[in-house]
Amino acid sequence: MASEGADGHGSKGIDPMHQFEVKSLVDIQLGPVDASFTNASLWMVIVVVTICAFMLLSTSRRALIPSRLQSLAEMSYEFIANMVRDNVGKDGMGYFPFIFSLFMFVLFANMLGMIPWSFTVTSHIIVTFAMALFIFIGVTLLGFIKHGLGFIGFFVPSGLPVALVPVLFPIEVISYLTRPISLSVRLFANMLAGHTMLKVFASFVGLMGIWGVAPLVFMVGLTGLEFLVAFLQAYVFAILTCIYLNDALHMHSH
Amino acid sequence: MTGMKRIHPSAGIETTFNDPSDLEDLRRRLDKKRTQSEDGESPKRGGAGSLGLGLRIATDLIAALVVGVALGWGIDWVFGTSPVFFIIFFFLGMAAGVLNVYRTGQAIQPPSDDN
Repeated sequence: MASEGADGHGSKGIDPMHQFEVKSLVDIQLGPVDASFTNASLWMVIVVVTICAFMLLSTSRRALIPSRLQSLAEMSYEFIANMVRDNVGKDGMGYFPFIFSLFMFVLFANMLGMIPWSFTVTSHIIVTFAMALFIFIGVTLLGFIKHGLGFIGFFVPSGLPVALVPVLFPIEVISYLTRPISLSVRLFANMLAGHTMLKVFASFVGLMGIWGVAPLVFMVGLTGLEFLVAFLQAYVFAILTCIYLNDALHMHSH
Repeated sequence: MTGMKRIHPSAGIETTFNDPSDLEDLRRRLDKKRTQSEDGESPKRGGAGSLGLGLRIATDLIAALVVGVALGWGIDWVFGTSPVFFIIFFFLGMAAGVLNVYRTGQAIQPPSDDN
């Protein structure tokens, strides 16, 4: 059925993956590296500009009784500040700027991706994986800087018989190395699956004629759900970073 | 109408100075609201996350296996001992995956106890 539809409609058939295509806008070639300015780059710039504009505008006219915009900015500040305080502790507040930037970037990328014809930066594994790898390497280095070689003790569960150490140590290390993968795949898969699902159901609306009302109603609910997912995944990304940071700073052995 | 006036900045400051109990009351109401909103956070996270949770457990399980296999493969490639470490790390990766899932399960235990 699916292949029939695709053949029959030619280029106008259902192509839910088309929205994720990376197109080069300005070709830049740096030696062997293709550093073209793509639509993904453009949307990352848009995300950063939007965040900057939001934070600057909302804090430009500070008042004791905040305007709506100011109160939004204060809410997002408090939300992340509480998250860092609860999950990392007081000494983790030094890393607040990083967690806040990270959360805002993911949140705005997810939210701006919900605008029709926009591009969802976080639906690309390379973007999320780059962020996750940066966090992972940073947090691991931090652990070794704070605790020296004692950080290796993090991979040996407390109260473990010495005979089991050679078996459990590699398992713990593999489990630790899983972190950047699961962190990045979680965000990427959620965004990819959500947007693909939206596109597939949206294409049913046109194909089903008058009965397209049914998927249309469904789409309304699905869009709401997708906004929830967009926020939730940004939240999960930030809170997991906090948890990893906490592990590195305080080395809570499992 | 008096409520509207109080929200207005200039009027708000006046009432604050005249009546310190007002500020106390406001603080109490704010604290109440704040704890309410914090309480409301956790069930929402659990409720919407059924699909997300399944996905999370699946990725944790598979990712550990992928990492294990990649490590074993890498060690074999460096030392030319194929397929000894590949096999060892395949099983270690599986164990790490189960460990990941176990930890995820432990982490989500408290909310399910409340329900």
